[in-house]
Amino acid sequence: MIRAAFPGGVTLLQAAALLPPVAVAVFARGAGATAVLAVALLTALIWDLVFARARAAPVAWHSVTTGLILAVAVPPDVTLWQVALAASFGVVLGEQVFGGRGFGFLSPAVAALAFLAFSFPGTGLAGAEPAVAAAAVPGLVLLFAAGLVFWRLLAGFALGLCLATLLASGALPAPSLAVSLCFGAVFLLADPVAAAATQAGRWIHGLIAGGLVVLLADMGPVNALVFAALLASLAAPLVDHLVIRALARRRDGRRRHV
Amino acid sequence: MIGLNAIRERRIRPAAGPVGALRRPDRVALVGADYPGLRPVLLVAEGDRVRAGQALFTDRHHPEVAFVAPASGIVETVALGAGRRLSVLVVRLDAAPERDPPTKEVRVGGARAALLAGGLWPAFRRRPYGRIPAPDEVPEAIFVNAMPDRDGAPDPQAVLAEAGPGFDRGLDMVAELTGGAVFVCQRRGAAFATPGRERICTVYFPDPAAAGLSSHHIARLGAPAPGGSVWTVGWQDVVAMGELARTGRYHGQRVIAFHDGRGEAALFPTLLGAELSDLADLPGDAGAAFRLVSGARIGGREARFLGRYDTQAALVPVRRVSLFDRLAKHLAAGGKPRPKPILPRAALDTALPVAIPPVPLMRALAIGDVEAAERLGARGLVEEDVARLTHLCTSGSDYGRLLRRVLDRMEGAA
Repeated sequence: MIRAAFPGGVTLLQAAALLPPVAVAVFARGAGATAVLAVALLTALIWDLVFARARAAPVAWHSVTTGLILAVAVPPDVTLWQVALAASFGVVLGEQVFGGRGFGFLSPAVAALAFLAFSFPGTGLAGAEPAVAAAAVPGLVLLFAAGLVFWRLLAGFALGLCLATLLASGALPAPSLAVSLCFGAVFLLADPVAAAATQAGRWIHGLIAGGLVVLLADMGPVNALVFAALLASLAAPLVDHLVIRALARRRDGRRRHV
Repeated sequence: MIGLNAIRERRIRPAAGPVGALRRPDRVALVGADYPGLRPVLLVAEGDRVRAGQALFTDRHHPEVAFVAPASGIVETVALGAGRRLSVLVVRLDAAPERDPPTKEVRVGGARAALLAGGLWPAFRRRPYGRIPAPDEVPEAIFVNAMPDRDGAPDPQAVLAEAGPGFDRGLDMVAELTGGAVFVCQRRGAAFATPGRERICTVYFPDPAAAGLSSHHIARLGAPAPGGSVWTVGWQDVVAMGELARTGRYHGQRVIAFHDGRGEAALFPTLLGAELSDLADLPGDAGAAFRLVSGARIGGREARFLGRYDTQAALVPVRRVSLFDRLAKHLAAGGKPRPKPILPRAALDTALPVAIPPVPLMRALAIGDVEAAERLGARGLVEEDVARLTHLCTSGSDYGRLLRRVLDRMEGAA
């Protein structure tokens, strides 16, 4: 069990988990991806510094992980000012306006990618390659050991995906689909800050996301996952609220001595 | 506790080693931190000679509740804090323990008066709110915690064998205080309470860390109805009550587990409120690199004296700051400190002894949202329940203090 007792430790862990997929993406896609990486990182860090300065607070550096995720999920042919705009949107409106990492309820990377796909139609997000999926596995193991991904959420997601595909087409999802969703499921969907906070809520959160991916599958796997993750994380507070109400009702019903 | 630690969260087994000889400290103390909000009416002054079991002060709101000296000696210091709350009362003990003349046995039916006057009333704490109950309160049930309540606490199995009939007699005293059940919560094995007695139920709980806390037992067996209360009491206090009932003497000894970080914990009896430095072989010149902690490894407090409700103490080396820690700290440094975020992670999910989702609770406590905390069931919690959250959370908040603040507001509104 790896224990990070400090927000900076969590950032280091998540950045470490992201390094293999980023390396694979940059290596496989060439100069375009390097430029995307540089612009995304730079933009994200500038906003971090700006908000730290505005709040007279220490720099959290957490947007490094947002930049790294964007470097994998943004295709190399996207114009760089669009990357900068999307990264700004994600970091500012997905995270910093709430007070920074851990105070909001969205994954800034998901917000940035959703913004990119929504504002510039035709942008097919990347990160579905089998090589990237394979590179995401060590990160998954690391994050799981640190308790920074919740297995209930991922299991719920897999279940939701299977159930929705069964309902829609009468067959289980193709393995290629599972592979193409691997990176996104670990780094976009399973962000602990955006996930539901109750155990039952995490199952439901995963189920909703899995179902939505099938519903939105026409967009392409990563686009579908980004919007599914966005909608599911918007629903998460409501899910938590309902779970807590159900727990309270059960507690009140059990109030008696044997 | 700072930084990125590749720490294996090792469970420390209950201390079950052979019970050593009594270690008598030079000083004992009653510490205000054990009785939050208590305003004492002092019955002794500095320099007075006191006997074991003699009342030192009473609660201003409940003059019947006596707080007594664990052993005979001379009152050395009486310190009051803000609002005339008790800060600390230190008694320097006599070199040789004075044998008090035995007084008479406690009659059946006289338990309440005997416990109040005999100084054992503060052993009880009521839920909700975790305070010493009022002298005339009748709880719905009383939960005797006969488990090693934290990692590394003394195993009652190793100690109670010698207590013999004392524990049963103590349970009789406890049972007189309630019309409901007395639950003896313990681990698997031989029942500590002689079976077959009316209203005294032995309940077995499995081993995991959080199952040792009374909140877990209460949640399992039934929380109090709105407006009602249940009480909790530790197994060693029940033994002391049995002793009081049989001999009329105040039994100020408690078996504690002392962890010095080298191998197995030492298990030995000492006096309530013992000065911790008298119990340990302090490392000579490296003394500065150690702290004395009263209570469990997680949730204990740095202290000079053993806490009233603590059953373990530790000599904790002050950890050297690792390179990782410095790097992580450096990343976040520069600028004034501000609230750090609560980052959810899996370890938190098993940190509470009751089925309350930890992250919503932490958020509610952090912002002092009484309503949300109430809905989550925080009313039944006490500080010891959230100690693991404090230990695990990235925010560095002290959830015990935050919980007490929320509980105070609930109590004020009730």
